[in-house]
Amino acid sequence: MTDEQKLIDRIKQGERSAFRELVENNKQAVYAICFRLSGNHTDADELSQVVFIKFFKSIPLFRQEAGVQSWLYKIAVNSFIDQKRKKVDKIMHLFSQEETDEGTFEQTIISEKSDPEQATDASIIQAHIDQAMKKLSPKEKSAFILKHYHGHTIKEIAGAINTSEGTVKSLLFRGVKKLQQALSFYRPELGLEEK
Amino acid sequence: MGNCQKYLEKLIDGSYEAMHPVERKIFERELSSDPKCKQEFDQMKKTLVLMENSSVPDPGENYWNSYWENINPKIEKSLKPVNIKWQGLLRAAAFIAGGLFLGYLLFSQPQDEMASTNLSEEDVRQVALSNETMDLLEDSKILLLGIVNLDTQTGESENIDFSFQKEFSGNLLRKAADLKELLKDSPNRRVINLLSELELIMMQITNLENKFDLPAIEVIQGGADEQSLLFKIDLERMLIDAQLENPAKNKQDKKDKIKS
Repeated sequence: MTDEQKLIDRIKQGERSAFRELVENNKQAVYAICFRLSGNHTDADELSQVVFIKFFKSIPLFRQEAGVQSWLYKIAVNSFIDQKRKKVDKIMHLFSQEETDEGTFEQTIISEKSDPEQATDASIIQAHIDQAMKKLSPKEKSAFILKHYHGHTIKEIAGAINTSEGTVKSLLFRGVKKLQQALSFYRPELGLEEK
Repeated sequence: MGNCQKYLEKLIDGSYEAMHPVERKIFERELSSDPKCKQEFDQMKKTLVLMENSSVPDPGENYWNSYWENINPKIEKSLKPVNIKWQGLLRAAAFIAGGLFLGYLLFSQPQDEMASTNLSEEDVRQVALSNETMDLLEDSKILLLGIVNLDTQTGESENIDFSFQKEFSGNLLRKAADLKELLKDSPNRRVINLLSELELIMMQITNLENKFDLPAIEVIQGGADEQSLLFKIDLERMLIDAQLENPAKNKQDKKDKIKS
């Protein structure tokens, strides 16, 4: 029996300190995926707490073969997709904000074109990546994050977001295409021709 | 993905990265023979390389140190789905309803019928409890079948509103608690255990989100399956049915068994 399995057994027996140990062991990984999904600290903090609460509630029925981290990631992406679905009004508001942001974003791009040195700054690239990620649908984003930042296989992603492997490939393809388009101003780096 | 699909797919699913150097060389040679696809492949590859620049900022030591303190009260809160005062009131109401039901059973039956079946007050109480158990099991089965048979793969269930199931489950949860109380002196531990298992599942259904809550639904489906709840419900209903058919005979059989 692995240490993880022993920990789960202790939690199932009602040992709260064991659950605390599980949270301490996984909080950074869960926060990281939540941050990548939500794109900001406040939402990542809220989402990561939801993940642990849902995990705690489901612990009596947790199937050990799944692996704690995979299960936590699965809860994270599904909670994120669910939250996005629920907050339609809020999303509409965010879309209108994004449209405004987009203007600023494009202005930044133009200014960077005139100053190539600035474009190499890591924080600016990060900001561009964050903006580009906002173009992805929740499912595209979840699939992309699990694949490229957490090393999941197509099969594992399909299991996590409850869809077929073919759909995951389509989601990834569409996602990468959107990212490519959103980041197309990095033409020399992306090997794109100037129009 | 067009004509370049077979190349781009290798990049998307990670098999390009996992290729053996020799295999990769062959792949790249083949790709180079199609300039259009090569360009598309390179662009996509460079996008992915650029995306590797993304990092997650560290929220700081203070945040990590207080992480558990922030989450612990929410876990405590999540463990109390039903308001205690309401639970008490509902339990009292259920007791009154149970009493009325028993009274109805006792006094509405003609005396000669009671005499002919040779049932004592205790027998009548048992019959009433058995009927209540049957009703609860039947309702639980209907609710569970609905959840267990949900198709989580196709996405067709994603628009279902679970508010009715949650409310129904909440009612069953309270009925199960009341019934367990009434059955606490019963020698039939199996039915009490089954009610406890059902209570756990009902609590999970009651705590579902109104919209499609996939992880929670999968947990419920897995739990119902692992504990063979539907099978246990059917089995218990069959046994109760058999008892209800002839309670006096069953009682005599029990006595005979004890004597022998």
